[in-house]
Amino acid sequence: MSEPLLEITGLTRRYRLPGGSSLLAVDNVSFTLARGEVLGLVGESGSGKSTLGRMVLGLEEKSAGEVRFRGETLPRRYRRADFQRYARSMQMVFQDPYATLNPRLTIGESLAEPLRLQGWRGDPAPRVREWLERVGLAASMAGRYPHEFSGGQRQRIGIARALITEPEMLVCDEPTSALDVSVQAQVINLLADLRREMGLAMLFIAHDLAVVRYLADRVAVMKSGQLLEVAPTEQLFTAPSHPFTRHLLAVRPRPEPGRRRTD
Amino acid sequence: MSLHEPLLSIEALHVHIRTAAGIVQPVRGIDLQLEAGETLAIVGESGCGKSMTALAVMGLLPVGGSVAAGAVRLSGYRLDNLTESGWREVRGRRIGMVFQNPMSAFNPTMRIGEQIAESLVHHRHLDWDHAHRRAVALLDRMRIPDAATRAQQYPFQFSGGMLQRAMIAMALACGPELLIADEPTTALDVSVQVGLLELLRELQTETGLAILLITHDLAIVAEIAQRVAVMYAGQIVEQAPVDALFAQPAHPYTAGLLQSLPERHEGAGPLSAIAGTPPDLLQPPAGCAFYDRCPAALRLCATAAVPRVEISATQRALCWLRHPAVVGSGAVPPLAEQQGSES
Ligand SMILES: Nc1ncnc2c1ncn2[C@@H]1O[C@H](COP(=O)(O)OP(=O)(O)OP(=O)(O)O)[C@@H](O)[C@H]1O
Ligand SMILES: Nc1ncnc2c1ncn2[C@@H]1O[C@H](COP(=O)(O)OP(=O)(O)OP(=O)(O)O)[C@@H](O)[C@H]1O
Ligand code: SF4
Ligand SMILES: [Mg+2]
Ligand SMILES: [Mg+2]
Repeated sequence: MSEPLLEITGLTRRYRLPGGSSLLAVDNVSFTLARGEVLGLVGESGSGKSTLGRMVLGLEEKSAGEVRFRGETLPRRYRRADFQRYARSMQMVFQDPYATLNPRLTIGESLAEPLRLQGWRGDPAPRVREWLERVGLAASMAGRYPHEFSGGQRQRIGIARALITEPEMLVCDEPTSALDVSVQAQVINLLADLRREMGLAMLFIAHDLAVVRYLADRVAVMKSGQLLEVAPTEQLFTAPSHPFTRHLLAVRPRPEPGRRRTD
Repeated sequence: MSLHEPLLSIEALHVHIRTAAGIVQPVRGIDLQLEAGETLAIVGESGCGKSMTALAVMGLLPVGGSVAAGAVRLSGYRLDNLTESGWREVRGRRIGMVFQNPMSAFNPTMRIGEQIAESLVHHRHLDWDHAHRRAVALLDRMRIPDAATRAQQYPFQFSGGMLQRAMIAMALACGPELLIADEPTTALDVSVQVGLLELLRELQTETGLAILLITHDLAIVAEIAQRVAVMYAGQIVEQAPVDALFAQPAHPYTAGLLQSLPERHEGAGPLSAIAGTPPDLLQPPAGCAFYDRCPAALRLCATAAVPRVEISATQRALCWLRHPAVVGSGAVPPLAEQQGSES
């Protein structure tokens, strides 16, 4: 069998808490991701999903454990040159759409930046326009600044910025949480196309179980820093093995007013 | 009838934002009423003006933004022309606000517990010790684990969903009459979501809390809202009781939105989405703003100001399709057919 694209072993992150105790935000987590595969990551709020995603990208120091990408062990703590080197193949869509864009750059400049960092020559403008349109924004918006955009518009700019260099792997942290279901469908369809056409692999973090069920090949469930189970998507939704997964599936609200539990 | 004043009343609200490129019109004539104890959800396309509506009600529009026309009243009392000192008695005390951007609600250099306590000291005149204990209890009620320890942390040390819960705790701290919540559940797992909805319903029965809920999550809408307003390009295009909205959407945008739910997707193909993009709010169109994307568009929709049609006593839509002149005549076939017959 071919080597996995991403291989994570015993990944751990410890934070200090006030009063001297410590918190295992990510506790000895291991999994693999194949080329073109989508691994959904769901679970408790505060269970370590974003921390895990940031460690994979080298944006957070690893307390213990290892990340291998295409067979190469990534550094425990990144230096400046490492970011540039790995950004070619791996990108992240951040959970907070308000914190990810440089307020002093126009949207067009923000989107051109990753291209420039990778030694892209020539005029980035046509590519910037193309990617704005692919996420459902008007190409004419390239000259505007981040504060002129709504939450969901900023989230889409973040997605365009992560995809514009055509990475092999994407860590998506709640990438559609600020989008209405129609724009969400456009973005999910775009991600599905990129996976099919270019073999884009994704670690897809989300609380929206219906979206995860549609897009993911396998789903991992986290609680209190630990990975409780990883299973093929349909199996996880129809025959979850861990009680916490069963609980999530049982209580999730549905878009059907008729079945509301109390009123 | 007596002189009944709804708790919140928004009348013909228009918001303008001055920018380098011209005046953006994110809110173009919105009317809404909300009663005590009621939950009204606002849903709609990303960028359609939901947050600007909420910020206009709170008097917190961004630099360059202003209420260009219309009025906002809380129990009959004008909010849109309040002075800053007048606002201090309303914001955080009579109206609690959950912002779409949680970080903007917190001071990054101050501990979470202290920030919630401060609001209690200021509005409810509690002493610091007491306020601090209340703050921890509120965080605990929002299911923040180990709340006493966490209250001593700074905002950046919280996960996305923990910060969202802390902000809801802060918005509810002083027992407001109205909660305006802009996307309050995007970072919450479904179990915490359900707990929050239960808590809100309890507060509604106990204290008559009214909730204006802005959300993209139609499952949350189905769970808690009595009425729904659907926004598109700065206008409310449909308003209906929650059951009617899901079962018989009257506006083509609402129908397209519901069709895009991943829960309604069948088979292996791509998810259904409304093709196209909304109009630029720098130059809103004269006719229907949804015209370019509407599968049912009539020729007159492009140019004629769209009427607000009463579908029933409780459901209204901003659309020509249901207008008596169009329904009665039967003479105006859908655009697709018109084009077909002309070629
Ligand atoms: N910089 C930090 N300093 C201290 N603690 C942190 C820091 N970042 C995260 N944590 C803690 O680590 C834990 C995991 O946080 P993380 O953001 O990874 O959770 P998450 O699963 O992404 O949650 P959510 O679904 O709410 O976004 C939380 O308890 C959080 O408070
Ligand atoms: N400061 C600003 N200057 C100029 N335009 C702005 C500004 N803030 C918002 N806008 C524009 O106003 C419109 C409405 O923005 P608003 O934030 O109300 O949208 P929204 O409905 O809340 O969207 P989302 O669901 O994505 O949060 C958007 O099209 C946005 O581009
Ligand atoms: S007014 Fe016409 S174009 Fe607009 S939504 Fe109704 S049918 Fe469609
Ligand atoms: Mg997170
Ligand atoms: Mg918004």
